[in-house]
Order: sequence, then C-alpha cells, then structure tokens
Amino acid sequence: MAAIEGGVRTLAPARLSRRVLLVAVVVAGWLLATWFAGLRQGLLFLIGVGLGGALAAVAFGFTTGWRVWIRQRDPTGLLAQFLAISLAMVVSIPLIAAHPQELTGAVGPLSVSLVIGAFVFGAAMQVTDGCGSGTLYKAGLGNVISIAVLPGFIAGSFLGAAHLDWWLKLGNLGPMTVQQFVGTTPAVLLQLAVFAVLAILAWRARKQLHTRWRGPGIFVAAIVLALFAIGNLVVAGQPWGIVYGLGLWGAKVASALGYDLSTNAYWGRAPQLAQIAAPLIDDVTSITNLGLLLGSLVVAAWRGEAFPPVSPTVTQWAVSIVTGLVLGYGARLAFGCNIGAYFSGISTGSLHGWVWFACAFAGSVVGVRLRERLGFKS
Amino acid sequence: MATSQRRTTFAATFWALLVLLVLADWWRGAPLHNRFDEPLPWALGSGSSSAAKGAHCTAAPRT
Repeated sequence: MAAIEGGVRTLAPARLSRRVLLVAVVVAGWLLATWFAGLRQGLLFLIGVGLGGALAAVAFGFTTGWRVWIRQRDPTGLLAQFLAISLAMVVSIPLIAAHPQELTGAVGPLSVSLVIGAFVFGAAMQVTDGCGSGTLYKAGLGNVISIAVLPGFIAGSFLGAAHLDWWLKLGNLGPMTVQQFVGTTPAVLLQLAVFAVLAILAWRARKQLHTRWRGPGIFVAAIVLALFAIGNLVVAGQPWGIVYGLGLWGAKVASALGYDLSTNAYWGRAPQLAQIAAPLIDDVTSITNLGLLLGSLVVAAWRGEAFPPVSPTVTQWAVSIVTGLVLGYGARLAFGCNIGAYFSGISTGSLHGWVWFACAFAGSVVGVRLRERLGFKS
Repeated sequence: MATSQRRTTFAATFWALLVLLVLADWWRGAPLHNRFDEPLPWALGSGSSSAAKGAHCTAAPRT
C-alpha cells in the first residue's frame, strides 16, 4: 500500500521489495541473454521486455480492439493500433530504403494461403481472445487460457510452415511493397492517408462512448510499442515478429523427437536447419518472445495483476487448445500474425500486411459470434 | 481460494517448464556464432544483414 509520510509518497516494504525483485529478474535475464548469446541478443531480450510490458500495462489487445469495434463500435483500440503502426512506419520504411544491405522489411507474398490463413487466424484469435502478441503477453502474466493456447500455437506454427510450399502452389503473386510502385516517400504518405481515412471512418461510426481503456494510457502504449518495434528493426535487422519463433520451438521439439526435417521445403533450408540446431536464444524472434513473456509478467506483478482470475470450463479448455493449433497454422499460411504481417508488414510497406488486415478483420467478425456461442466472456 | 491456488500453480509450472526447456535447449544447441567474437550489437551500421537470414514470419519455403 502507498502511504503519505511527511508529504512524501512511500511504498510499503513488502511491495518495495517485490518491485526490487522484479527489476532484478529483468536485469538477470538481460545479463544471462547477453552472456550466453551475445550483446545483440541481450538488447533484443530487453526490447521484448519493453514490448511485453507495454502490452500488459494497458491490456493493449489487437484482438480486443477489433472486437469492441465489431460489437460496440468503440474505435479506441483500432485508433491506437493505427497510431502505433503509423509511427513505426514513418521511421521504418525510409530506414530500410537507406540501408537495404543491413535492414529488411516484413514482406510476404500475396497468395491464396495469405487470404485463407488470415481469415482463419482472425476468427480463431477472437475465440481465444488472443492474437500472436496477445497470447504471448497473457501467457506470460499467467492467464491460464493463453497458457493452454500456447502449445497448440507452437505446433500449428511448425506444421503450417512445414506445409507452406503446398499452400503456395494454390496461387502466389510473390512479395510486393507499396514503395516498389510509388517510391519511398509517397509510400509513407499514401499509407498514412489510408490510416487517416480509416481512423476518420471508425471515429465517425462510433457508438460506444465509455471505452474500456481509461485515459491516454493506450495511446502512450502505442507510442512505446512503435519505439520498441523500431528498436527491434535497428538491432535485429528485421521487423518485430512472433510466429516464426513459435514455429521454430515446434521444429526443435520435432527434431528432438527424431523427425528428419532436412527434406522439408521450409524447415530443410540451410538457415532453418542451422537455427534448429542452435540454441533458441540465438534466434532473434525467440529471444524477443522470451523477453515479451517476462516483460508482461513483471509489469503485471508490479501492478498486482498477475495470475488473473480466469476459470474456464472443460469445453473452453478443449476449445482453447484446438484453437491454438488453428491460430498457429493460420498465421504461418498468412506469413505472420497481427505482429509479423499486420504491424510489421504494413509498417515496412508490404502489401501482404494490408491484405492480412482485411481478411483477418473479416474472420474476426465471424470469430466474435463463434466466441459468444462457445460461452467465452464477450 | 483453492481455484486461485490451482491457477497460480498452473502458471508457475508453465514458467518453470519454460525456463527448464530454454536451459536444456541451450545445453544441447550448437551456437550460430562465437559470443566472444560478436558482430556489432545492432544490425544498422553493421554492413551486413547477418541477423536476418530467413528467420521471420514472412520467410517463404524453397520452391
């Protein structure tokens, strides 16, 4: 409990020592990541902690943001997402254009698999109330549903990547960026204009005046997310991603169980085989994921909100586990989740990010109804 | 109270398993680079894109 002593706000010793312990855990994690995987991985771990902390601090849900728009016409979550992506974009696209040898964008192919995968992912993320980042940060802070989703998500990501070559044969135009058609600066301006139009439309159609997000916190978190996402690009050389790391964890499990992945079109590529053989803390996506998990736990524990009271029924447990598989599989077909495709794809100019957004949003409209039918909290 | 305790135990088990798996994975893994001979801590300005060799969600399979 906070107390006022002589005009100075003080913290009770128990809370103070808990907070010191939490800071110590983060510092220890950073030191371990740096010692065992190097300075770059240590920095990426800290970036992950920051991302997880920002997400958990205000319950920055991509899934929830869409759902409250679909159900209540509350535009707050959508507007915060547009702000975060736009801020990341105005730095990322010019930076990649100026340093093409060092930085790469999240540019995925336009394919039939993208349309199907994004739609399915959008529906599934509403059922489990968690996208890529949402599932990770909620699992980190101890939400039992998200923890139940995670193993399926990992298995689905692994399998989806393993089957990706077959799905691409259904139709594939290859990767495309907005900037390859109109140039760097016009691409930034064009995408900003699209977000502005979408924001105005969302605002004008609003019905809900009492949003679940109080105050400016969600917009501050959006700015923080954008800054950490830019940091991820600068340090890792590639934009923020989540699902690749989860699939890699699945590939490591499959490999440890004796499966030969060398003949697979995806996991059999030389860089993937090297990643599978290497410690996962050497992988830029995995180390950020681990930091994200820890960051959300630390922030939730700091605020006394860790291990939230969620008591799923048996059916909801089963649905969560199965839906995790669908989430992972869909995200790999779609070349990313809400982070790898929507956030990082659009913020680096990939057209697949926009297609992902449209298809996943359509899937979410279906998913919101499914969620209500299955008795999950709306 | 019992439900709350089960929930906390479940989440604590998840964290313990995660830490154990990361440790076991590190123990049996073959590092991609010598951590005592590191490239620059950040890719920007390093002159190469060694950190981003297909290890992203947007990476496609070989065709």
